[in-house]
Amino acid sequence: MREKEKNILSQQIPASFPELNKLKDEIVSALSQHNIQKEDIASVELAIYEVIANIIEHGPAEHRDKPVSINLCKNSDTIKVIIKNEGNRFDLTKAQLPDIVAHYKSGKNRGLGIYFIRTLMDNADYTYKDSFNILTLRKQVKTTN
Amino acid sequence: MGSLQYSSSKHGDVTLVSVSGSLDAETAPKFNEKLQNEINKGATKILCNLSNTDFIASAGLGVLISNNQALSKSGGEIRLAGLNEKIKKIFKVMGFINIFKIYNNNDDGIKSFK
Repeated sequence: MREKEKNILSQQIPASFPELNKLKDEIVSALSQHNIQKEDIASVELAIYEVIANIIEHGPAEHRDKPVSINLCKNSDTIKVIIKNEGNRFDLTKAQLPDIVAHYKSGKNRGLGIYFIRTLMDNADYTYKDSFNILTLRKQVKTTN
Repeated sequence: MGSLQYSSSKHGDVTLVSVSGSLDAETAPKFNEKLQNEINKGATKILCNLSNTDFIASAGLGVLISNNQALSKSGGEIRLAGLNEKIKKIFKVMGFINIFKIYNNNDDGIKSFK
Protein backbone atom coordinates (compact mmCIF):
# COMPACT_ATOMS: atom_id res chain seq x y z
CA MET A 1 0.00 0.00 0.00
CA ARG A 2 1.28 3.42 -0.91
CA GLU A 3 2.50 5.45 2.06
CA LYS A 4 0.54 8.63 2.67
CA GLU A 5 2.49 11.79 1.93
CA LYS A 6 3.84 13.49 5.01
CA ASN A 7 5.59 16.76 5.59
CA ILE A 8 9.12 16.18 6.87
CA LEU A 9 10.46 19.76 6.88
CA SER A 10 8.87 23.20 6.76
CA GLN A 11 11.06 26.27 6.90
CA GLN A 12 10.85 29.91 6.07
CA ILE A 13 14.21 31.61 5.71
CA PRO A 14 15.48 35.06 4.75
CA ALA A 15 16.97 35.01 1.26
CA SER A 16 20.61 34.96 2.34
CA PHE A 17 23.52 32.57 2.00
CA PRO A 18 24.11 32.07 5.74
CA GLU A 19 20.47 30.99 6.12
CA LEU A 20 20.71 28.83 3.02
CA ASN A 21 23.75 27.05 4.47
CA LYS A 22 21.83 26.32 7.67
CA LEU A 23 18.88 25.07 5.62
CA LYS A 24 21.15 22.65 3.72
CA ASP A 25 22.08 21.00 7.01
CA GLU A 26 18.42 20.72 8.00
CA ILE A 27 17.50 19.15 4.66
CA VAL A 28 20.25 16.54 5.00
CA SER A 29 19.19 15.80 8.56
CA ALA A 30 15.49 15.45 7.68
CA LEU A 31 16.16 13.16 4.73
CA SER A 32 18.68 11.07 6.67
CA GLN A 33 16.11 10.50 9.42
CA HIS A 34 13.88 8.93 6.77
CA ASN A 35 16.67 6.63 5.58
CA ILE A 36 16.93 8.13 2.13
CA GLN A 37 20.08 6.90 0.39
CA LYS A 38 23.01 9.33 0.39
CA GLU A 39 23.08 9.83 -3.37
CA ASP A 40 19.45 11.00 -3.39
CA ILE A 41 20.00 13.21 -0.35
CA ALA A 42 22.91 14.89 -2.13
CA SER A 43 20.77 15.48 -5.23
CA VAL A 44 17.84 17.02 -3.32
CA GLU A 45 20.19 19.14 -1.20
CA LEU A 46 21.98 20.48 -4.26
CA ALA A 47 18.80 21.12 -6.27
CA ILE A 48 17.25 23.14 -3.42
CA TYR A 49 20.53 25.01 -2.98
CA GLU A 50 20.56 25.97 -6.66
CA VAL A 51 16.95 27.22 -6.59
CA ILE A 52 17.46 29.42 -3.55
CA ALA A 53 20.92 30.63 -4.62
CA ASN A 54 19.26 31.72 -7.85
CA ILE A 55 16.61 33.65 -5.88
CA ILE A 56 19.31 35.30 -3.72
CA GLU A 57 21.53 36.26 -6.64
CA HIS A 58 18.98 37.22 -9.27
CA GLY A 59 15.97 38.40 -7.32
CA PRO A 60 15.25 42.12 -7.71
CA ALA A 61 16.49 44.40 -4.94
CA GLU A 62 12.96 45.24 -3.73
CA HIS A 63 12.36 41.56 -2.97
CA ARG A 64 15.68 40.82 -1.25
CA ASP A 65 14.19 41.03 2.24
CA LYS A 66 11.30 38.71 1.39
CA PRO A 67 11.50 35.26 2.94
CA VAL A 68 11.65 32.00 1.01
CA SER A 69 9.53 29.11 2.22
CA ILE A 70 10.46 25.48 1.74
CA ASN A 71 8.36 22.40 2.30
CA LEU A 72 9.77 18.92 2.03
CA CYS A 73 7.28 16.04 1.79
CA LYS A 74 7.78 12.32 1.46
CA ASN A 75 5.64 9.39 0.51
CA SER A 76 6.83 5.82 0.04
CA ASP A 77 9.27 6.51 -2.76
CA THR A 78 9.11 10.17 -3.70
CA ILE A 79 10.39 13.41 -2.22
CA LYS A 80 8.40 16.49 -3.08
CA VAL A 81 9.91 19.94 -2.56
CA ILE A 82 7.85 23.12 -2.70
CA ILE A 83 9.77 26.40 -2.79
CA LYS A 84 7.81 29.63 -2.64
CA ASN A 85 9.09 33.18 -2.90
CA GLU A 86 7.57 36.57 -3.55
CA GLY A 87 9.05 38.24 -6.59
CA ASN A 88 8.94 38.67 -10.31
CA ARG A 89 7.68 35.71 -12.29
CA PHE A 90 10.49 33.31 -13.12
CA ASP A 91 9.59 29.95 -14.60
CA LEU A 92 12.71 27.84 -14.69
CA THR A 93 10.77 24.93 -16.18
CA LYS A 94 10.59 26.91 -19.42
CA ALA A 95 14.30 27.73 -19.57
CA GLN A 96 16.26 26.06 -22.34
CA LEU A 97 18.87 23.68 -20.99
CA PRO A 98 22.44 24.05 -22.20
CA ASP A 99 24.34 21.45 -24.18
CA ILE A 100 26.92 20.47 -21.57
CA VAL A 101 29.80 19.83 -23.95
CA ALA A 102 29.18 23.14 -25.74
CA HIS A 103 28.91 24.92 -22.40
CA TYR A 104 32.19 23.39 -21.24
CA LYS A 105 33.93 24.42 -24.44
CA SER A 106 32.57 27.94 -24.17
CA GLY A 107 34.27 28.35 -20.79
CA LYS A 108 31.27 30.14 -19.28
CA ASN A 109 31.53 30.33 -15.52
CA ARG A 110 27.78 30.63 -14.88
CA GLY A 111 24.54 29.41 -16.39
CA LEU A 112 24.42 25.84 -15.11
CA GLY A 113 22.10 26.31 -12.13
CA ILE A 114 18.86 25.47 -13.91
CA TYR A 115 20.55 22.54 -15.65
CA PHE A 116 21.56 21.26 -12.21
CA ILE A 117 18.03 21.58 -10.81
CA ARG A 118 16.32 19.90 -13.75
CA THR A 119 18.91 17.11 -13.99
CA LEU A 120 19.05 16.31 -10.28
CA MET A 121 15.26 16.15 -9.89
CA ASP A 122 12.81 14.05 -11.92
CA ASN A 123 10.10 16.62 -12.37
CA ALA A 124 9.56 20.36 -12.00
CA ASP A 125 6.23 22.24 -11.96
CA TYR A 126 5.81 25.96 -11.73
CA THR A 127 2.95 28.29 -10.91
CA TYR A 128 2.77 32.03 -10.26
CA LYS A 129 0.03 33.11 -7.91
CA ASP A 130 -0.58 36.36 -6.00
CA SER A 131 2.97 37.58 -6.78
CA PHE A 132 4.51 34.33 -5.53
CA ASN A 133 6.67 31.96 -7.54
CA ILE A 134 5.79 28.41 -6.51
CA LEU A 135 8.16 25.73 -7.70
CA THR A 136 7.40 22.07 -7.04
CA LEU A 137 10.18 19.55 -7.56
CA ARG A 138 9.84 15.80 -7.29
CA LYS A 139 12.35 13.00 -7.13
CA GLN A 140 11.91 9.27 -6.78
CA VAL A 141 14.28 8.11 -4.07
CA LYS A 142 15.59 4.89 -2.61
CA THR A 143 15.78 4.13 1.08
CA THR A 144 18.56 2.27 2.82
CA ASN A 145 16.29 -0.27 4.55
CA MET B 1 29.49 31.82 5.17
CA GLY B 2 30.12 28.52 3.40
CA SER B 3 33.66 27.54 4.26
CA LEU B 4 36.44 26.99 1.77
CA GLN B 5 40.02 26.08 2.58
CA TYR B 6 42.58 26.28 -0.17
CA SER B 7 46.20 25.27 -0.37
CA SER B 8 48.65 24.82 -3.22
CA SER B 9 52.06 23.29 -3.80
CA LYS B 10 54.41 22.84 -6.75
CA HIS B 11 55.39 19.43 -8.06
CA GLY B 12 57.78 20.14 -10.91
CA ASP B 13 55.72 22.10 -13.39
CA VAL B 14 52.44 20.87 -11.95
CA THR B 15 50.57 23.03 -9.44
CA LEU B 16 48.60 20.92 -6.99
CA VAL B 17 45.62 22.74 -5.56
CA SER B 18 43.68 21.23 -2.65
CA VAL B 19 40.20 22.47 -1.90
CA SER B 20 38.35 21.61 1.30
CA GLY B 21 34.82 22.53 2.29
CA SER B 22 32.16 23.92 0.04
CA LEU B 23 32.52 25.12 -3.55
CA ASP B 24 29.29 27.03 -3.78
CA ALA B 25 27.84 30.33 -4.95
CA GLU B 26 29.29 32.12 -1.94
CA THR B 27 32.80 30.68 -2.03
CA ALA B 28 33.19 30.48 -5.82
CA PRO B 29 34.55 34.07 -6.15
CA LYS B 30 37.32 33.31 -3.62
CA PHE B 31 38.15 30.04 -5.37
CA ASN B 32 38.24 31.85 -8.70
CA GLU B 33 40.59 34.49 -7.29
CA LYS B 34 42.93 31.81 -5.94
CA LEU B 35 43.05 29.97 -9.26
CA GLN B 36 43.59 33.21 -11.15
CA ASN B 37 46.52 33.99 -8.86
CA GLU B 38 48.09 30.62 -9.71
CA ILE B 39 47.60 31.25 -13.42
CA ASN B 40 48.96 34.80 -13.18
CA LYS B 41 52.05 33.37 -11.46
CA GLY B 42 52.57 31.12 -14.49
CA ALA B 43 50.79 27.89 -13.59
CA THR B 44 49.55 26.06 -16.68
CA LYS B 45 49.23 22.49 -15.42
CA ILE B 46 46.88 22.52 -12.46
CA LEU B 47 45.74 19.43 -10.60
CA CYS B 48 42.79 20.16 -8.34
CA ASN B 49 42.27 17.70 -5.50
CA LEU B 50 38.65 17.58 -4.35
CA SER B 51 38.91 14.74 -1.81
CA ASN B 52 37.92 17.05 1.05
CA THR B 53 35.33 19.00 -0.90
CA ASP B 54 31.97 18.14 0.59
CA PHE B 55 29.69 20.20 -1.64
CA ILE B 56 29.97 21.52 -5.18
CA ALA B 57 27.31 23.76 -6.72
CA SER B 58 27.06 25.03 -10.29
CA ALA B 59 29.00 28.17 -9.37
CA GLY B 60 31.97 26.11 -8.14
CA LEU B 61 31.92 23.93 -11.21
CA GLY B 62 31.73 27.08 -13.33
CA VAL B 63 35.01 28.32 -11.85
CA LEU B 64 36.72 25.08 -12.89
CA ILE B 65 35.20 25.27 -16.38
CA SER B 66 36.07 28.92 -17.03
CA ASN B 67 39.65 28.68 -15.76
CA ASN B 68 40.22 25.44 -17.61
CA GLN B 69 39.10 27.06 -20.85
CA ALA B 70 41.25 30.12 -20.22
CA LEU B 71 44.26 27.87 -19.62
CA SER B 72 43.57 25.76 -22.69
CA LYS B 73 44.29 28.77 -24.90
CA SER B 74 47.91 28.62 -23.74
CA GLY B 75 48.12 24.84 -23.82
CA GLY B 76 47.35 24.43 -20.14
CA GLU B 77 44.68 22.45 -18.36
CA ILE B 78 42.98 21.83 -15.05
CA ARG B 79 42.68 18.16 -14.13
CA LEU B 80 40.95 16.74 -11.09
CA ALA B 81 42.00 14.17 -8.51
CA GLY B 82 40.67 12.31 -5.50
CA LEU B 83 36.99 13.00 -5.95
CA ASN B 84 35.13 11.56 -2.96
CA GLU B 85 32.03 9.44 -3.58
CA LYS B 86 29.58 12.31 -3.09
CA ILE B 87 31.31 14.65 -5.52
CA LYS B 88 31.98 11.84 -8.00
CA LYS B 89 28.27 10.97 -8.09
CA ILE B 90 27.32 14.60 -8.67
CA PHE B 91 29.82 14.81 -11.55
CA LYS B 92 28.35 11.59 -12.94
CA VAL B 93 24.71 12.66 -12.68
CA MET B 94 25.50 16.06 -14.18
CA GLY B 95 27.43 14.52 -17.07
CA PHE B 96 30.82 16.01 -16.23
CA ILE B 97 32.54 12.77 -15.28
CA ASN B 98 33.80 12.23 -18.83
CA ILE B 99 34.42 15.86 -19.64
CA PHE B 100 37.11 16.61 -17.08
CA LYS B 101 40.17 14.40 -16.81
CA ILE B 102 39.82 12.82 -13.39
CA TYR B 103 42.39 10.72 -11.51
CA ASN B 104 42.12 8.60 -8.39
CA ASN B 105 44.90 10.35 -6.51
CA ASN B 106 47.51 13.12 -6.68
CA ASP B 107 50.32 10.84 -7.88
CA ASP B 108 48.32 9.61 -10.86
CA GLY B 109 47.16 13.14 -11.63
CA ILE B 110 50.64 14.62 -11.49
CA LYS B 111 52.08 11.80 -13.62
CA SER B 112 49.34 12.35 -16.22
CA PHE B 113 50.84 15.75 -17.09
CA LYS B 114 54.29 14.27 -17.92
